[in-house]
Formats: sequence, C-alpha cells, structure tokens
Amino acid sequence: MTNTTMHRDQLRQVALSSGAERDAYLLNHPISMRPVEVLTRSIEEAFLQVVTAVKYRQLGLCFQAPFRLGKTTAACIIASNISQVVPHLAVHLMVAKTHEKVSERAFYGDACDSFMLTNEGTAEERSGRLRKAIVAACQAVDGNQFLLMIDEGQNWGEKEWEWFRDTSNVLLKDSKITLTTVTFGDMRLGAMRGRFQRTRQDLWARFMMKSTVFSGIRHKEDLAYFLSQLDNAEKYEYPAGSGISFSEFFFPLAYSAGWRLENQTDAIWKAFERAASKVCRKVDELGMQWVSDTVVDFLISRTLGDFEGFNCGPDDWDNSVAASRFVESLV
Amino acid sequence: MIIVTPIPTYQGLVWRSAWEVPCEGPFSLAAKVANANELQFADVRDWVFAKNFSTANLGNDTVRPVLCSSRVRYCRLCMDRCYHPWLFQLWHFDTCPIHGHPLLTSCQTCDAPTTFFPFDGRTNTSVNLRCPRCTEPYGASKSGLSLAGWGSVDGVEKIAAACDAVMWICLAIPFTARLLNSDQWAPTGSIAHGNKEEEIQRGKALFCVLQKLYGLGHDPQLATVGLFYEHVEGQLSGPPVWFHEPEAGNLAARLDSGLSIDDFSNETVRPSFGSSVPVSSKVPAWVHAVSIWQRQHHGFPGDPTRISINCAQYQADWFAASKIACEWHDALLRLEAEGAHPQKSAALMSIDERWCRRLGRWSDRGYSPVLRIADSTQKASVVI
Repeated sequence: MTNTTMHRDQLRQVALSSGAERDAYLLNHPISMRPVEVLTRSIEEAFLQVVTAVKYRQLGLCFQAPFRLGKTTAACIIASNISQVVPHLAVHLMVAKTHEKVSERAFYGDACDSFMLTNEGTAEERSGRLRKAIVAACQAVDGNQFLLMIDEGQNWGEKEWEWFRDTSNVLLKDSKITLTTVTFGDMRLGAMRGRFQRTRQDLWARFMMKSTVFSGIRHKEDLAYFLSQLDNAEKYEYPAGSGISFSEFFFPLAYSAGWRLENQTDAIWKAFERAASKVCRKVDELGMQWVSDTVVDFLISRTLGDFEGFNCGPDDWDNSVAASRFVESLV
Repeated sequence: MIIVTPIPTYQGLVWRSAWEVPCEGPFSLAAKVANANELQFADVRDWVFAKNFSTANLGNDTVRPVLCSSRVRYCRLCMDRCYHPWLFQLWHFDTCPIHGHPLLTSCQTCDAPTTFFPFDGRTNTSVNLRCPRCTEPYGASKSGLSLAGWGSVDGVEKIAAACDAVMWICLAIPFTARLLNSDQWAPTGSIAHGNKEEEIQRGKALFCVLQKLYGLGHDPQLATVGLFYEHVEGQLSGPPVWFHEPEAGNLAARLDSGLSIDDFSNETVRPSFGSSVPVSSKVPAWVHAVSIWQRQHHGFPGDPTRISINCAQYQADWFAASKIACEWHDALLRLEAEGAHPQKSAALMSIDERWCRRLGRWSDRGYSPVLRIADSTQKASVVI
C-alpha cells in the first residue's frame, strides 16, 4: 500500500466516522457555503461562450437572467476556471455598484477597491492606477488580454460604461491590451441594452451587442446533470484528497450500497411541481438558489438517517423544497 | 470575491516583484512605485525608504547612515532603465560596474546637485527621473521607460556580485559591522568623531576589504588606506572581536595541532620565491591558508585566526587566504578524482590567476600560489 492510498484511507475514515473531526469537516463543507459552487449545464454553456469571446478577442458579452438564478455563481466558476482553458489570460471579477451621485472619481474608486488598490487621488490618477494594474496583471501571465467579469452590471449607467470604454481604449492604444468584458446582470441589463441599441450604439456594440439569457435548471436533464456533479468525487470531493463525493459525505452507508443523488432527479422535480401547483403555477425553470437550498437541506437534515438500505420518499423532498422557500418566490 | 489571476499588488499599490531589478535601491524603486500608482514621488518616497521595501532596506538603514552619499549618485545609462542600485550610494564606487561610466552627482544639463526629491513628471506610461531644477532627465534618454521594460537590466549580475560582497561583509564580518556602526567607532587621534573626513576614511576601509575579497575594481586613492590603518591600528577601544566566519572557524580549531606547510614537503612544491604550494589534497586547506597569510605578514605576533578587529587589514587578508586555500583544495580534490595531473592543471592556473588579479597587493608582497613556476616543464613561462 502506498503512502498516498494510506493517506486517502485514513482521511476517508476520519471524515466519514462520527467524531469531532467529522463535525469540523461538516461545518466547513463546501455545500454549507454560499454560493454552492457546483457546475450546471447553464454554467457550462456560459463558460463555452465566454471562452469563445475571449479566443476571438470580442470586446463584450453579457448575460442576463432573473434574480437568484445563479449568475454570481456562474461568474465565480467561470472566472476560476477559464485560465485553465485560455492560457496567458488575466482575469478579474468585480461587482458593479450604484451611487446616488454618479462621478468619475467614485467610479474609479470602486474599481480600485475591487482591485484591492488604494483609492487615493483624483479620478485621473485612479483610472491610471487601474490601467497599470491591468497591465501588471497581463505582464504577470505573459499575455496581452484581460478578461473583466462584471457582476450586477445593471448597476452601471451610461456614464459608467463611457468611462469604462475610455479605459479600454487607452489600454489598447498605450499598452496593446485587449479588454474583454463579460457582464452579468438581471433583466434591467436587458432593458439597458435595448436603450443603448437605440441611443448609444457605441456602448451597445462594445459591451452588449452579444447578449444571452442565462438559465437556471430548465428541465429534468439539467437537474440530473447538477445532481450527478454532487455524486462525482472526481469533480467535487471533500475533504481534498479523500475521494469522497459531496453526496457520499452525507450518506456514506447508503452511497456504498449504491444510492445516488442523481437517481433522485424525478423525485425532486416532482416535489417542485407539487409545490408550484399549490399556488397554481407550473415549473418552467428553477432558480439555482431553490434547487441548491433544497438539496443542501436534504443532505444536512437527513444525514442522521443514513444506513445501507436508505431511501427517501416524496415527503422528504417536499419538506426540503418547503425549507428552500421556493413557493414564496412564486407568489 | 474570486480573483483568479491575482492582480499584482503590494500593500494596496500596483506592484510586481518582477519590476524590481536585483540590488535595486529605494530611489528608483520609489520612482517606479509612484509611476505605477499615479502617485507623486514624494508620496511614496518615505514609504518605500522606510518600510523595508525588499532589499532597498540594506541601502537605507544599514549602510546609508555611515557610508552613503547624501546626493544621488547615478549612472546615466542605468537611469535610462530606471535602475539605481543602492551600491551606487556607497563611497568609492566611482564607476558603474555595468557600463563603466562615472557615477554622477549633478544634473548634466544644469549642473544642479542631485537630490532624493527628483522631479518625477508623471506620464501615463513611462517613468523618467528628472532634475528638479531644469526637469531634464537624469538618464540619457528623453522618453523614459514604460512598464513593459521594467525589471530587466543587462549586466545586472555585475552589480549583484558587488552587492553580495557588501551584504556578506555587513552580515559576516565583525570588523565591517563595527566599521558600519558609527556608535562603536572610537574617535581616532586627529580625526574628530562624526567628521566627514572620518566617514570617508571608513568608506575607504570598507572598500579596501571589498577590493581584496572580490576584486571590485581599482581605486587610486587606496594608497591612502595604508596610512589610515597605520594611524588607527591599536587605537580603537573595547575588547577585540574574534573572527567567527564558519569556514575559518573550523580552520582555527585545527591550528592547535601545530602543523605547518613544511610538514607536507612531499605534497607541496616550492616556487622560486620560497612559499610552498600544495599539489595534493593531503595538505589540509587550513595549513595552506596559514602559509599564505604568514607570507603576507612576516613578523606579526600571533596566529591569524585570533586577530582583533583592530587589525582590519590583517583580518581581511586572513579571509582572503582562507578562501584561496579552500578553493585550491577543492580543485585538487576534483583533479585527483579525475586522475589529472595537478601541476599541469588549467583549473589551478585559473584559480591562481583569478586571485592574483583580484588581490594585486598580494603579488606585490611576494606571494602568489603560482603553480606554473613549480612545474619544471614550464619554467620558461614563470612570471612572478
């Protein structure tokens, strides 16, 4: 037996046996964090679109979706992983903020904060600092392309996009750096896009010409894909190096006997349908918040009932769907 | 927040460690930090100078109070690369080791003395340190240097070697530590404590050690150093500080055996001027080192491993002797492992030549571990 396998076996035993160490692992389990960063079909599709935009050096791309569908999670996952696919690419994720009084200085101050830079100085000095940070980041990866992921993009107005365009122009002119922006926003971003298309085609063409509606869980296949990720220790394991998938961590005995979350797809979907029918609604698309909250509630609340012959009934899922407050979101 | 490609920052400022050239001092570092962050030079100067910003610290806290010029001393071509090594601030480095140009202390356009508050004339893309009076750049180029060019200076290894020597001396030689610490430096008979002239003399003393150990160039003013030592020798107060450099410490521990190089007559050859040279690794390196040192200092009472800092020159010679002997010994070991004939070895020749070139004064005094002269087949080429 090699050291690696010994270590893995010991880790598995500690993580899956009752005791203080398992309790500690439980507290820090990624599933207990928000957002739950697990890949979905929609995120995968968005990822491919962003990769294409970057590869062809497109200047802008935007995703719009209703609230709680998983845009922020998508932005985080894409930002975390795109460098593995596109080398020599510098990436940063920032959140657009609103201000009662829009000013160039405040705008660049937000940007400097996001880049963890001092925000001293005038608007011009702040914008210069921001540009040099971008140049430095590109130098660090030996590239000349910067991908800026902007979350809550609907919070910026015409002025902010203008200032940002200027930054992009100077970067290209002075440093030969292409700035690609990928903006995530709610449906107000779509409205802004329409307005820009009519009145500010320069901004529209640069930042919002390519627009996609970001989806949540659209059908059972999407749900099955999401659940299969939680069963897959090769993609999502915890603790690191243990080879324990997320679902096995909570149901080790049932998992060893062949139980899988993915097999619960029908039961979960039907639970959502039953919940929606209570308020006379149909399930067209599920927001990731409700799906992930439902699954997390199920895993955490039922883990004590784990045994080899474990199986769950519709009530279990109904309770977890109720705990996710899905119905309230429909009202 | 996720930042996948970390934005290169340092304490809230845009900064890449790759922008710092080895041995760079706080002056040009401050200029780069200011430029990268669209700040005034004065805003970052004190911060960079005071906050242990990398190696700049040595040029600042340790050396500057005693040995550094109050004016910026610069090489025009280095300034074109926005590079100002802290070494330039030390007395007696009068030329740039990279370019061979003289180090300047005034603007070449208006002759105003340099200061640590230059006109930094920020531009969007480049850094260019300028004279505060006439705003002309200190460097030869008018255009300055953009971020893309920061961090690379051809030939910087020459600066690095010299800086290594200074740092090594600062850290390892009690004498130099004493030399650098003005509080510990007792006033000499005719030179008042804190006097500028005395500081220059300290600088010369340091340079003397550096030159002997690392061959840092020739300074005609070194002729005065001998007088300086004769003057201060024996006048410093306080208990002697013994030499504890590890390599020599080991040698010192073995001196008690009472061996000398004459005990290894079968493993040495004796050049015409009389100093034996080992041709076998059976001769311990420390025996060789003592032989070298004693050849330099006939009549010195006591052994070289117990020299007080009062005798700085002697101590420096002992450092050099031990280094020559160890290098020589290592070369012999290598040659024996290869089955080569030591007396005809190019490796030993090169050691010999290198040390002779570095330590010019040694050959003046008659010692050179020149193996050529011991090789009967090459007697015609002997040069002493």
